[in-house]
Amino acid sequence: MMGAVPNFPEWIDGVRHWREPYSTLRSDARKYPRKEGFCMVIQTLVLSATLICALQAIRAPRLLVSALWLAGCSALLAFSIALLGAPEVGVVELSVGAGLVTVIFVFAISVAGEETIGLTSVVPRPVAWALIGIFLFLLAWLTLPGLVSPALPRDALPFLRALWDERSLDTVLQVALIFSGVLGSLGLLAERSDSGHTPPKAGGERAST
Amino acid sequence: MSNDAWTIAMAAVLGLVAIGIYGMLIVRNLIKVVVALQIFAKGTILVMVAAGGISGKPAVGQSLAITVIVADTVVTVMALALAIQVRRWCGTLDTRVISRLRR
Repeated sequence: MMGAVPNFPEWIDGVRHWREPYSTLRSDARKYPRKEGFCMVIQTLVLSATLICALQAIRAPRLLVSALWLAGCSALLAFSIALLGAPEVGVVELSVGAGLVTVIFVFAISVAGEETIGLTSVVPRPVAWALIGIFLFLLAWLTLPGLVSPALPRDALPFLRALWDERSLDTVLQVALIFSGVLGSLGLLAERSDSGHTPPKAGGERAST
Repeated sequence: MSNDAWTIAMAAVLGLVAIGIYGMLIVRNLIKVVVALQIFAKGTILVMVAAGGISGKPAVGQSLAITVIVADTVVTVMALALAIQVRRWCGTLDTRVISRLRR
């Protein structure tokens, strides 16, 4: 598999092939295996804080505060992903999820305006809770058995080689997706240059229905 | 060694997904619906990384996680542009007010 692309840069092969969880937090995992518990406590704390931030993002009455809680949730999740042995994904999540998305949210809130709407739901609460319960049951039923299966043989493919060689079509399509997203949002946000159509006042269009 | 690490990650995935679904079902503000969608997608990213680690193919899981991040960001941008246009034309972000299905 390694010889499939002869022109691939040499330095990629110098990247470590496999990272254990928590190996980014400590370089002495082999020497002191007893410190594992300490790392696990840190991960539990970080993920709990992530969940608290997510809940606060839903519960916060103001939109701007909600966006900031979401940014905190994203940053903590990026740290947790880096702890799990995937610092590349953590960096992308931190820069895109916590940086770019927050900027876009603040821009959208500043354009659309702050509007505080209460938490009285469209769906009745018991139905919502029942749906959440069913979904979580299905998800746990499908995923948790995989956790107790015996350890599978590890694939020694480096991350960057997997991203650029194995899934290069994905990467090219992501670029196309980004461009289509930019063009689509430009088309949506464009102002009409002729003054023939002006947006109706609040609820003006609804008056006829 | 690291089975417990993945178990903790999967528990957090369940929590994030539950909070995301709760938000999408309960919340009426269009921009906050996008926030709930983001939280849901964060659970997806974490489950991609964890599934790669559990199944012994971490590189594939991580590259799929990056794909999810990019696609989710584009979806967020489009949804926020739609929300801005809804606010511009209907004057509100309340999904109950702009809905024509009932009343």
